[in-house]
Amino acid sequence: MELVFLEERADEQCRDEDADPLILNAFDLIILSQGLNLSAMFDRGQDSVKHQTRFVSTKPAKVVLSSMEVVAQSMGFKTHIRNYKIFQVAPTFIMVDIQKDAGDAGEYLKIPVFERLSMLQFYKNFCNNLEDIIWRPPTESAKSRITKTKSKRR
Amino acid sequence: MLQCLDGLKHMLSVVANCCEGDYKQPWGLENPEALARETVFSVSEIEALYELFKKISSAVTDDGLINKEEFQLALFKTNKKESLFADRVFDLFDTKHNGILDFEEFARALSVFHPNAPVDDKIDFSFQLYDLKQQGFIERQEVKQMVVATLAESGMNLSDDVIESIIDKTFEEADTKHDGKIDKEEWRSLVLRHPSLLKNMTLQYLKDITTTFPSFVFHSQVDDA
Repeated sequence: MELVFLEERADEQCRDEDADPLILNAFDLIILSQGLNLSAMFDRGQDSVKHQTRFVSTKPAKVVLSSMEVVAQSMGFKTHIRNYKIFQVAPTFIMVDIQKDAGDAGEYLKIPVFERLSMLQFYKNFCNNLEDIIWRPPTESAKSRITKTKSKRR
Repeated sequence: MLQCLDGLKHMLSVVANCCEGDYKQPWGLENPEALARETVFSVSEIEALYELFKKISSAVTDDGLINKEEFQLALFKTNKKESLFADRVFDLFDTKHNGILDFEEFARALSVFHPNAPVDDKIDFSFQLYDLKQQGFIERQEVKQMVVATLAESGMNLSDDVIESIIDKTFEEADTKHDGKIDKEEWRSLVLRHPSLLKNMTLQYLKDITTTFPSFVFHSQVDDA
């Protein structure tokens, strides 16, 4: 799972925040860890792809949310972002965690293979299109990647 | 007297099972009824769980036991991934402290993750999970170690003072006795205020396990109580 960062745009200043970011509790963060997610044990070896995207932004939550919606819509996808959470990491930083995980494998498997592949592409493009709002520390490289865990067919 | 009766009962059931026609009991699953009694699983769920156990425990060596490597493979699909958390989970499963998991340990531990398991069990398990040094309380240093490990997993790089401020806020809320540690009582009240902190302690898959892992074990008396 890769974290993506981008430069902040100095002119952006939104006061109104409808979205109320959760104040980050260390344990909220800790339970996001893959090592604590035992549901992976039940992966039956069928094609299942776990998408997880996490990024940090200095934009207000409202801006991040609407950007995500706009990008998703412009890409022709309405419902592929199932779960996301916004955490207030520090006074000016929020962390966004998006999960479309194998937890709803039953639902996922009903999606035709073609659409599953396009979802993969979606996540790749999604992050590229969000370049504007994603924060990158100065030393980090420019490439943004989404890591997926893919299990092989047995 | 009670122990004697139990022993007798066990012996009788083993004998009865041995004599069930041509059918041989699967290795390691001598008494699913006993396990079912001591966990939230039904007998058929125990049998289905055993199918999962067989799959995981045969990944590297087919010895009917899950070693650390096989455990990592089951969680991460690779044995190359070191994880502080997977290690803690493994250690908690390994109640016999011999570095391997047999089916009994596997079933007893997973019982806690069943949707029907008592929430107190989940609270206890998660507390022990985060109590890295097993001192009976969660220290600041342990929380920091876990936060750093989680961030490292996702390649996320937050500065030390941001991490410290996250932990400050956490302790402000959790450490109601203001002694720099989170004890079991404080953990319990934190988690009851924030139930989402326990969400990884429930595996919905366990409810459907008999359909996910159908087993073909037949018992003369299947008691699904």
